[in-house]
Amino acid sequence: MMRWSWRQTTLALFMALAANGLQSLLSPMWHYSRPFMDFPLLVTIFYASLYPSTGALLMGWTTGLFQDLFSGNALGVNALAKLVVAYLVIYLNEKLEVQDFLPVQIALLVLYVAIDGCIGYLGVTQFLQKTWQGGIFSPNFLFSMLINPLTYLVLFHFPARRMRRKTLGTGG
Amino acid sequence: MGEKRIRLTVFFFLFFLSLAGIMSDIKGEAILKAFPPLEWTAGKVYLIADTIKERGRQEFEHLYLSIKGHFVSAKRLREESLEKERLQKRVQELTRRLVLYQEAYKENERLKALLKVKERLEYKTVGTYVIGGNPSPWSNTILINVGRKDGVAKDDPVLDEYGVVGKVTEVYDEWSKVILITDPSFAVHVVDSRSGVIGIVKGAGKEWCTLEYVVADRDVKPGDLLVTSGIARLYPKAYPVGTVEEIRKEPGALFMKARVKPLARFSRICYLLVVLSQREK
Repeated sequence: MMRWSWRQTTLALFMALAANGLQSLLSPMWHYSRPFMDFPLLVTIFYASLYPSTGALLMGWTTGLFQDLFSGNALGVNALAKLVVAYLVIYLNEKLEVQDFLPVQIALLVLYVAIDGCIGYLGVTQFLQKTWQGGIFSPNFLFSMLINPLTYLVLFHFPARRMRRKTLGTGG
Repeated sequence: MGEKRIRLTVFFFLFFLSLAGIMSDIKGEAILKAFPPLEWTAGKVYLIADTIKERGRQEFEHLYLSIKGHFVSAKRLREESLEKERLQKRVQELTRRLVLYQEAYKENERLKALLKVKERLEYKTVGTYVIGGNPSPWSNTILINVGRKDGVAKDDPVLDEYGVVGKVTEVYDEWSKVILITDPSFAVHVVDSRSGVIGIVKGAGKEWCTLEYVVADRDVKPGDLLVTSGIARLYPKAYPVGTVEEIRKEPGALFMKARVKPLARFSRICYLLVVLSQREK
């Protein structure tokens, strides 16, 4: 059983707050018809991959809750979404015996953005009478599906890999 | 209780908690209002976040505008460079056209002058231009683009708008050879337009002619204009030939000798008139 340390808790809270702070700082620049970044999602996936435990579930849920709180959504929408994502990451991490977990992370990320886009599309089209703005077929949405994984690679995956190598050494 | 079971329990607990939140549509504001200290803290946090956000937005806008400005400047510079290149080409084109127009204007002026000559003359004439030869001091023949087909005959006078140029010596179907007034074998009967003294102007080579067969004591002065006499009805009457430049009288000699400057512009010969001597208008 994985122990849940104070260090992990501090790190989780810091990441959740930092991601939401960044998200709320940059969100005024975004619009449903523009490329959309989801920093809390990136943090949730990263943290759940790093520490696949119950703590990661709590961390994902907390991150989502903060997101709801900051964005003014009904409490629970993003919390539920991030909880499910965290659970999936942990579950797949245990079930799939793969050397590199990155493709799974990316797949989950893209899937989330796609589902989010679909929901957003359905919501938006009620007001826009199914116009071309927004929605899963707009170039901005497709760009979002690219920019989120790329940001994940740059902000989380590569730095983590470098740290891991530094810790383990180059071998030989 | 295993880790997995705990996790699953926590998951479902949080899942239903979230669902309950969604279903009851509790907004963050409601929670904050329910707990005043939390609301106060959140207010402060929002204030700080808003300040940071505003500052960040301004910085971001500044950065964005400066980057955009840089690209716009580069784009404008490139456009201006292209515009400059285009204008330079335009200037070159216009300069070329101007030169052409100036040439055309000069040509037009000369043709108009030649036309006036043509109208003034009693004889039929045919216009022509030089197609060969070199009217230089060392070459005293030129080729013109009219010949037998145009009615040109041997010994027909050739004029420009200023004076007598020469006469036709050889005629072919479509072109003719003209001997210039400066050729030593050329001679034309002239009269001094001021004093009426008659004489013969002969070619002296280079750019000069001489006035010959004038008795030494006759009234001929430098600057006198010599015109054709029209006696032989070969040349039109009173057409300028040249001006007297210098007179030389040797002691005991019967005739004087005068240097004559032809009026025809040999250095700029282009368009000419051939006088069809035997046919009057």
